[in-house]
Amino acid sequence: MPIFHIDGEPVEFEPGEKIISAALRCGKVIPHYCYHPGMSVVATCRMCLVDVIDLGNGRPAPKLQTACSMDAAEGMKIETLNKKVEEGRKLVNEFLLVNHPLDCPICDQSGECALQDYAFEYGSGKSEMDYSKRVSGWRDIGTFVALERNRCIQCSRCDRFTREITGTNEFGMFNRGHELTVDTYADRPMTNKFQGNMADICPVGAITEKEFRFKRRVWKLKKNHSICTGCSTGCNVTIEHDRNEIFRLKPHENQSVNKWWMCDEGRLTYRMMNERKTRIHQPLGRVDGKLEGISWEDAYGAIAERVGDMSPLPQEVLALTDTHASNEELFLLKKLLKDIFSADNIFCPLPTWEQYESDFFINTLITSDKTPNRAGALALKIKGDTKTAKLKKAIEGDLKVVFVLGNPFEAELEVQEKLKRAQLVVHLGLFHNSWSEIADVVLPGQYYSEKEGTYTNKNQRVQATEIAVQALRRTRPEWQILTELSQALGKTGFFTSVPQVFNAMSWEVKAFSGLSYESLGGIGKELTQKAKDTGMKVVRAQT
Amino acid sequence: MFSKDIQTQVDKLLSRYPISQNALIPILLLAQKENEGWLTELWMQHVADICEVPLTHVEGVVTFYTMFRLKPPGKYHLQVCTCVPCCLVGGTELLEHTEKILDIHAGHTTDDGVFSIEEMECIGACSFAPAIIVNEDYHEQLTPEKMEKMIDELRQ
Amino acid sequence: MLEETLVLFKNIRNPDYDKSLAAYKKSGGYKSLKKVFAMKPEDVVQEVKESGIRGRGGAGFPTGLKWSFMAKGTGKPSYLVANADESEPGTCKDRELMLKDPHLFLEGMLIGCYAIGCHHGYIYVRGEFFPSIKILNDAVDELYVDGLLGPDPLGSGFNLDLTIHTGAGAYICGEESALLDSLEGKRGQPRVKPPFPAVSGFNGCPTSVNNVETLACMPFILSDGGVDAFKSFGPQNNSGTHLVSLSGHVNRPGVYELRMDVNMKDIIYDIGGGILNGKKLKGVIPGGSSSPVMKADEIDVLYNFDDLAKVGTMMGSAAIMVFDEDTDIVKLLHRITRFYAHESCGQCTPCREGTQWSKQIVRDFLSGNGSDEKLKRLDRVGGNMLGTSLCALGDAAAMPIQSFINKFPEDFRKYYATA
Repeated sequence: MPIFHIDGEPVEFEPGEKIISAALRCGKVIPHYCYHPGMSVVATCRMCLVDVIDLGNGRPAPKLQTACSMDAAEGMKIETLNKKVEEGRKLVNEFLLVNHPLDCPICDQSGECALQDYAFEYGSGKSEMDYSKRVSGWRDIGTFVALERNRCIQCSRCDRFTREITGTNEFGMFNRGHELTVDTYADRPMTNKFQGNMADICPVGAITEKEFRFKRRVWKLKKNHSICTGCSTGCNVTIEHDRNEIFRLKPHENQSVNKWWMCDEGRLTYRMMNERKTRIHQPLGRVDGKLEGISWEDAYGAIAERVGDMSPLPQEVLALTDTHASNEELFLLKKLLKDIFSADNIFCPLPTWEQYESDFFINTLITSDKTPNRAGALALKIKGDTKTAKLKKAIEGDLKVVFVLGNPFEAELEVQEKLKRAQLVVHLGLFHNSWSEIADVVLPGQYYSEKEGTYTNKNQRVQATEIAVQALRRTRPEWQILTELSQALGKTGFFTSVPQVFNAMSWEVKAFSGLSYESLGGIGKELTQKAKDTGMKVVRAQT
Repeated sequence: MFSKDIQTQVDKLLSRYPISQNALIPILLLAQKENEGWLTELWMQHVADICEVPLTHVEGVVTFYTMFRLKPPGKYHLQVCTCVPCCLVGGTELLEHTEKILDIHAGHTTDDGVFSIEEMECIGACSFAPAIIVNEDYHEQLTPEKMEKMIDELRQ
Repeated sequence: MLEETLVLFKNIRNPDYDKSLAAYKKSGGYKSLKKVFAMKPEDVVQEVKESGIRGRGGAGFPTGLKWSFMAKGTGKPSYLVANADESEPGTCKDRELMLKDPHLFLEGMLIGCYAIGCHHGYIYVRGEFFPSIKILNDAVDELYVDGLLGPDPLGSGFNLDLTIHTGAGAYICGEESALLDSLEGKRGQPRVKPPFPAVSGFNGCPTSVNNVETLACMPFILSDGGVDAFKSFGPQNNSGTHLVSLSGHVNRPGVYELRMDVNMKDIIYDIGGGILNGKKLKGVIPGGSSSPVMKADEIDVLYNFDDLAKVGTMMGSAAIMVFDEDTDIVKLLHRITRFYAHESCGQCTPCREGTQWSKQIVRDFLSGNGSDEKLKRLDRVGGNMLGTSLCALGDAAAMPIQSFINKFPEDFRKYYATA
């Protein structure tokens, strides 16, 4: 690959790549506002000015050049730390602060604000402007975001976003010169489903998420890289939390899944993560028809005892699960049935789902399948059942033991009626639902943000979550429950970590062969054996 | 919404460019003329549909260029240049005098709706300064007296 | 007595000329076009190169060289766009051509179209030029009726169309890339360069944007012996005659066609008739408001691109604004900063904020709050716009500020010395 030099250090670049793109990739710091790798280059903020002392032909550039608009060239020599660049950055910073309201004490962006950071790093430290600043005012621009125009530095990222990324053209720039402003114009709030991204790309606190406003200072937030479980797209996110409360989800860059974006609905899944009051706090056992709190040992003991009394045949054991469960959980549930009962009647709902096709990539993030692991269930050969016909057959006879993971088939009242007659119903779940109503033992699991796990997204890419917040004290992750239950029912040896389970899974299940938990890395990995038909129906997006 | 004659002009314009969007500004000017010198949201939407661009785009264009007006001008729109060469030979005084005679400031319209004043940047008549444009006509080498006379004549 | 050298104004200075197509043809018009149609386009470009003509819009870039940059073999149509967005304060020469001899300019336009392979040329006229727009439209209609525009002008087989496009009031649209954006029906904001218009211009196609006067020179250049004659009108690298717009405190303001080896003194005192009301000269803005100002004792210099550049200023659009001893310099600079603040497109940080801030500082002086510190600040703010903005408007706003402070510091100090 061709090479150019920044401050004496060699940097590789792809032919046609801009200086700033190559530089940032190699970890060099070039401050910028308007440049964004996902959108067109406008070179208007002038913050990325660099000194090109050799254009690659022995001659220097006549004046400072913007790194975002100049192509890197073989033999080019660039300086970013000399006096000229220092002066350039200082003057751009000064000009930006001239009309900036300095709202830092009340501005959400404080702590993750590019203007703040660059002013601190490159600014002159004092103001020589003593005239009235431009006042543009607050605007309600959408269901999800608010606009504080006084803080805007006219970088035009938001303008380019609704034109190039969503194609909805709801946002624009108006007026000229000093009065240049961003807006939706004429009180027309945005309705697109990706407004939160505009708050992300805004380098200052002009566009902020209504959901997050004034809730927490960003420097208090701890961040964990995870995936959104709102649908089967599996956008990469950072879960940002403080003192065990999650305050927001922000997209994490993954060029193979969601690029730099995520949808607003996904952002709102953080609310469920904080929902603890209605969770099941401890194992429950049915005593005289009522569910009462019991210990984990008692729970496992009771199940083992009942199973020992019944000695069920394979066809008398049934497992139902939904596709919110992780790969490991599905794998272990299947394994439990096989190892302990030699049974294989495990079902989950697998309806056909709609995937949007669009000229604009961001629209393809939306899918009708709102569960994160449908493809995982397919890969693990869980008997999907779109019309519950197979399921109905399986439950015709007398069932002795039923395991229910999550909340599958919640609309199938008939199924629930039949299963009520089973002798032992064990429900692993987080919330009370119709299954826990009929369960004999309820074992409380944990939410995505509280446990590790891998999920297979709609394009059959396996991605891992991280533990972000602490779970409720007496709950356990489902993978742990299943392996402990297995042990209580007589199996020797059990798993002590999710990576262990994953590696065992990749050993035993064809679709995952060759993958290891470590190899998933930050961006996930596609299944080695992808299913040909995933039940997808392609639909043209409306916008 | 356009009158028949102007619609013919609009259609001709659209045919002169590779893309409909290219004809946006000339068509907006025609729309403004049709609507007595200013643009309403209805007209902007109509032109947006003709030129196949989003309304936000049209609004961005309209707020960028000074010739587009979003409130009605007077019957006679007096565009007085006060830029450097006109300023040197009395353009500013001419504007002030005009404001005095009509008792309004630049950027406003008289109560009877007959005159409105706009302060202009260079209108390209520098060697024949001071100069103004009344609606679409240039009047050059003016003096405050000539200005007064012209305003009286227009009032008739 | 300094006389005009009539090349472009040959017809205009004839009181009987009625600017019709017939009159233009009678005085020798469209002969060059006929000659050009028999040449190879690259030979036309070569002749233009040899004539040494430099752009008359303000930048002074060699036109032949610009045309030779046009990308070839792209499969896309080539475009010639005439820049009739004359908005530089002090400049009123293109309008003279359009109003009084439109066919001279149009013939030059057609020659240019042929030279760069453009079949549909556009003329971008500023929206305020209502009289010029009407006259140009009539002239273009005449050409269509005559057959000089259409499928087969003069039997050349080279189909030619022209469209007159109106702007809507923005000085920045005189900048070629902003003009192209405006022509495309967008906000007139300058583009990032590269790519240059010669590679990707109007709707992404190779385009050349040329000033009206530049194009109006083409019939003469392409006439027999035109190249040598054109070169003879000025020193080396400054060929041809040019239209000088003289305005301000002179007895005879107007537009004059002069050689490029005329002394500025003679322009002001001879053909310009000297200072109005017998006053003394204080200073001159030599090339449109963007050019650094000159003091009265600095005008003994030949008025062309290079000689003015040598003394630290520029000829720009050849607009001379003369001001006398009673001129309030600070008020003048205030008007200039107001102009740039109003016309800045607002895209890039230095220009958007710098033009506004510098205007505020000068206004502060006018209100009596000046100081040495503020003067230094004004100079610094102006200088910060130089070389850092996206287009030349930032530089154009900076140069007057710095040159006024440099040449007339006492005028600023007068405002606060008495306070």
